[in-house]
This record gives sequence, structure tokens and C-alpha cells, in this order.
Amino acid sequence: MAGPIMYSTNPWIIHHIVSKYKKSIYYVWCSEHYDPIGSAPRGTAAAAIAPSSSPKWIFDTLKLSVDGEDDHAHMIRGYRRKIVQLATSWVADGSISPSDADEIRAIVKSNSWKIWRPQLFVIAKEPIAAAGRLKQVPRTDRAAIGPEYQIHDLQPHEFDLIER
Amino acid sequence: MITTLADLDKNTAAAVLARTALSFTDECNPSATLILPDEKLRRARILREITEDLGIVSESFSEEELEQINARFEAELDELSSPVDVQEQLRKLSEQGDLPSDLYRLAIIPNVVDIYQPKWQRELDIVRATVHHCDSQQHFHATNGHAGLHLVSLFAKWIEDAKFPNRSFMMLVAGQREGVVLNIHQAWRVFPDRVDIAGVADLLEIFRRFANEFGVPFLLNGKIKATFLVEADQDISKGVSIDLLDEPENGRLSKSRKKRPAVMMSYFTLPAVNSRASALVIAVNLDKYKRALHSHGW
Repeated sequence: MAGPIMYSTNPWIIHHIVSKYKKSIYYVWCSEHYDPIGSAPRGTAAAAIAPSSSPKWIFDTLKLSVDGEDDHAHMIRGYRRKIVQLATSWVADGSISPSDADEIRAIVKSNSWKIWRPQLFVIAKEPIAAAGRLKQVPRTDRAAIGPEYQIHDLQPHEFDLIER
Repeated sequence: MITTLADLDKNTAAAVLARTALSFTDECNPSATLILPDEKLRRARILREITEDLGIVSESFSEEELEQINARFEAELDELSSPVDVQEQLRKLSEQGDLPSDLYRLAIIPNVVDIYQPKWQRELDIVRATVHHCDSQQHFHATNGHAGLHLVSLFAKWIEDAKFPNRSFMMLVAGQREGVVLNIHQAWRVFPDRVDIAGVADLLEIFRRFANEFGVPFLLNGKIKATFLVEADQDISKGVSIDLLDEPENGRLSKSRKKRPAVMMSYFTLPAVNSRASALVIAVNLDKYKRALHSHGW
């Protein structure tokens, strides 16, 4: 059963980039369940959340890839591409400088593994939902029929970070 | 080159392509907002151009096709973007204290190696793990309020011995950043039963407490008495006078020079305004430290 917490897993580099270059305003996908695959009762909406949208699955997959220094890790490749795209978009909208974008591109293209280590965002749901900031993702953008959410403007005082 | 973007300057083309790629995987992403008046149409054309070029006919993409499309977005964006001098950027990050620690190449001074002979190779593995996979780190540079410790970095890692808990320790490493090279001048095993590490505010405080236990008091230029100096406005490497003071051992002052312990003086030399200065100045009683190592199973 969904509780008062939302969970979101992201690689460390996302938190670092947003806090250093983007005034610590985070855009996150999140779920009411940390481990919908393992803990959601059958027949519930949570049980229909796609594995690739499970915070636990993302955490475990990233951790395995980082610990094993897996050069073929599909998830890390996806994050790397996305961060480069974000940096390009942010230069165009003026929210970061070209020099900042060069730093971001260099760091994600470097040989560092620890920048991809997973972090779990633990978010108190009620205040964000009450303010209308918890956005339910439309079905066409979800990986499966189970519910997924986004927060477009999460701030540092609204979450705790956990690393294993 | 994607012909749909041919009429745009490189920067605008790159931005449109980046937003198109972002919206392809996440339509709701605020960084993928439509900016140009005709951007919605351009996105559709870009995607059609890429899928046609890749021979993808279906509108419901398989995993493999998604990967091909994303790879093409990546390649096209790389072509439109100015090349990045990765090494220069990493050097800048190092100067700021922002270089991921697993990118540092370690250069360790002979004094540190000598302390841990003949087991240096094993100690090197621990030092390397402490820097590359640290539990905590602290970086100083002139712009974060620590001009006197500019380019000095501290790393710590807890090394657990499950079989003999008393042998567990915190490895503490101090180095000076020089681009992606970390010049390591100090590497100490800190045993909690000898150095109280509870409630410390930062790694500098652990160094101070380590110095309180294993440091030898010294007099700098006849004026400053300390067991540990965070910053000194003199360049010790230029032969500044340092007098090691006798310290009581077992409650009794040493009466003979022959019984003086082996001492290692360690410090960093840093550029300062119109001169050079020193940082993390410590004189360690190596005999006492090695006894501690051996009593903890080293």
C-alpha cells in the first residue's frame, strides 16, 4: 500500500550537477513504492509498475554496473546521453554558461565510475502533493500501466539522500 | 548532418536536436520545452529523417531500434557541439576540488613508502582505495575560504576487520592536487582506541587529534610552538628553523639524545601572496606510531 514517502533513484552525478550548476532545483521521476516488484500486492496498480521504473531496480542495476565497472552498461550510457543533452539545452536557455556545459560534458565523458553510483531520494509526499507539485505521468509516457510521478521543482530541504 | 537543421546556426541546431532527443525519451521534461515557433514540426521531421536513414519503418520501436535512434541523436549532437578538451576541464575541476576522486593518479613521496616497508604494497592498496573509494573527503582551495590550504585534499576510509575488530581503523590520506595527480605526503592509520574520532566536524579535526596522540611538539623559527599547524606563513622547505621539543614518554623526559624517537616532519608547500607558505605541518613520532601499528596487528 502506498505510504507517505515518494522514492526516486538517480546517479550521484545528477545531484552534483543540479546542486552546482542549476541552483539545486531538481526534476525527478518518483514512485510511491521503493520496490513495487517485490512488495506490491498482486492485482494492485503498484504491481503493474514496470521494472525499469522501480527505484530499487534502478538502484541495484546502477550499483552492479558501477561495482563491476561495466563498460557496456546500458543504463549508464542512457544517463550519459541525457546529461549531455540537458547541458546543451541549458546553455541555449541561458541557465548555465558554455564553460559550465564543457565541465559537465568532460566529467560525464571521463573514466570515473563513482559519479554513476546510485542515490535514493526519499521525499515526503504530503507537502508536495498538497501544493499540486506531484504530477502523475500520462500513460503514454509511462513504461507500463502502473502509476509514475514527476516533481519538476524539488528542493534540497524536501528530501533525504541515501547511498548504500 | 540532419537536413532539417541545415538552416540553423550550429548552436541553435544543437539546442533543437538536444531538446528533440530529450522529448523522445521524456516528453514532460521541462528542459525539452518547445522554443522555436516551428520546433514541433522540426522535431517530427528530425525523427522521420533519422528513422528513415536507419531503415526503421514501424512507429512502435523495439528496444534495439530505440537504442539505434538514441545513438544517432548522440552522434549528431557530438558533431554539432564544439569539441571539449577533457583533460583541461578535469584540471580545472581538480583546482576547484571537484574532480571525482577515482580519477586522481597517485604520486606518493618516499617518506610515506618508507614508513610502511616491508609491507608497502599492501598499504598502497589501502591508500589507493582510500582516495578512489573514500568514505569522506575534504578539498581546500582559495575560493572556499581556505587560501592557506589551497589545493590540499584530505581523504578518509574506514577499513573494517570483521575477525579482529580492534584492528579496524580509519585510513587518513593527505595530498596536494596538481591537475589529475594527487601528491600524497601523509597516510596514517587512525585507531579509534588511540585517537578519539567521535563527534569530529571534519577531516582536519581528525588530523589534529592524530597529532595530539602521535605528534612531537616543535618550535617554528623559535616562536611558534605546536604539535600541528594547519597553516604557517613560512616556507619550511627553505630551511626554516624547526626545533623538536622533548616530549615525556611514559611520564619521563628523555635525558639522552640516543633515546630520541625517529621523527618524520611533514608539510605541504603552497604558493602565497609574494611568497610561499606551508600547511598541515606535523612532526610524527614514528617509533610510537609503528608500535601502535604492530599492537593492532599490522
